Amino acid sequence: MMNEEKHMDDILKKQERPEIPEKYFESFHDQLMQKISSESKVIPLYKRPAVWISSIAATILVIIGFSLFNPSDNQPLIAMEDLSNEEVYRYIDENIDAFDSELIQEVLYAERFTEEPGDSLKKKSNAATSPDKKAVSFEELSREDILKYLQQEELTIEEIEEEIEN
Amino acid sequence: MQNNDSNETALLTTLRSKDVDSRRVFSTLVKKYSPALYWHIRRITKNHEISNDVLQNVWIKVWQHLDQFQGDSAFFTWIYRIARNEALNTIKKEQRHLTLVLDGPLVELIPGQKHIKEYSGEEISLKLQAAIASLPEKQGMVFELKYFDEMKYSEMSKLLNTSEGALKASYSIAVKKIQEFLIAD
Repeated sequence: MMNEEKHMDDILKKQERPEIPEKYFESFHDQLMQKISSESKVIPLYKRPAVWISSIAATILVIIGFSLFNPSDNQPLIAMEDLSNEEVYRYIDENIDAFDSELIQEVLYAERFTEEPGDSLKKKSNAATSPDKKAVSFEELSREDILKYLQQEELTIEEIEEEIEN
Repeated sequence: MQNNDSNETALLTTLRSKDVDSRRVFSTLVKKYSPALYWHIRRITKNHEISNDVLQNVWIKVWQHLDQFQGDSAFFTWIYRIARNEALNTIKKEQRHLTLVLDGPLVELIPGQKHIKEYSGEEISLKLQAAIASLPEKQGMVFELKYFDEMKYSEMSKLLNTSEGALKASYSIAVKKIQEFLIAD
């Protein structure tokens, strides 16, 4: 049986520790602390006041939404037909910031050369994707297009001639 | 002892606040504990680069999971356990480990042992590590800190919140169990 008083050093010879880079622990400490400092304190979503406020606000909006629109028949309480043009223009004028002015211009631009009013979206998307959308010259327009435009603007050839003469 | 406990509680309260003071305390702990943790990790991974990565991950985990420390052991014991698990998990999944140059054996068997077979350095080192792993966690830690790191009992006593007498007894039992383990076959 082995002598109980025997020390570890009597049995095993410890080997030299492998070398480590000079001042390793100092640089390790500095790098680690830098990493820790750069990590902002992570606050769980449910603990953030902004999330609570947003959630409450979103809930209120949903409730208001349901009170204005009746989901059972899917009909808005106020239909576009009920609004006069004047009301719509005034609304757009007062809330112009909420609209994409370039988009409005493109829709209006496309509308002028539209055969049928329902095609305006198609024209708009074509205009938006076409690289030379603004390069339509007068020469490219057919006589029919010009007449249609004049009709739309409620002008006659005579009126234009008058304008030119003046 | 009680003083150490209350110091540790105060330290943890500061650490968990995650403010400027907590970073200062954390910085002190990193300086103080990193060498022992590094060598503990390195004995498992046998490579500096991997040990460096593991040690960094250990500290980041400690910083991020301070709330999970239950206070049922000394703070150092908790970190030592994280370091051990992190090192073992890393070498299990780390492909680099197969291609990097690894450290030589931790120990060599002194020739002429009556009750122990003639093991190579690698073999006896593996056997020694298996023997340490078979010990109760704290006993294994006390053995490693004393045998490999040559830490003084007075220092270890502060680190582990344990009296020097208890640590000496723990080391003595650990040595006996390890010797029995080495002669077992």
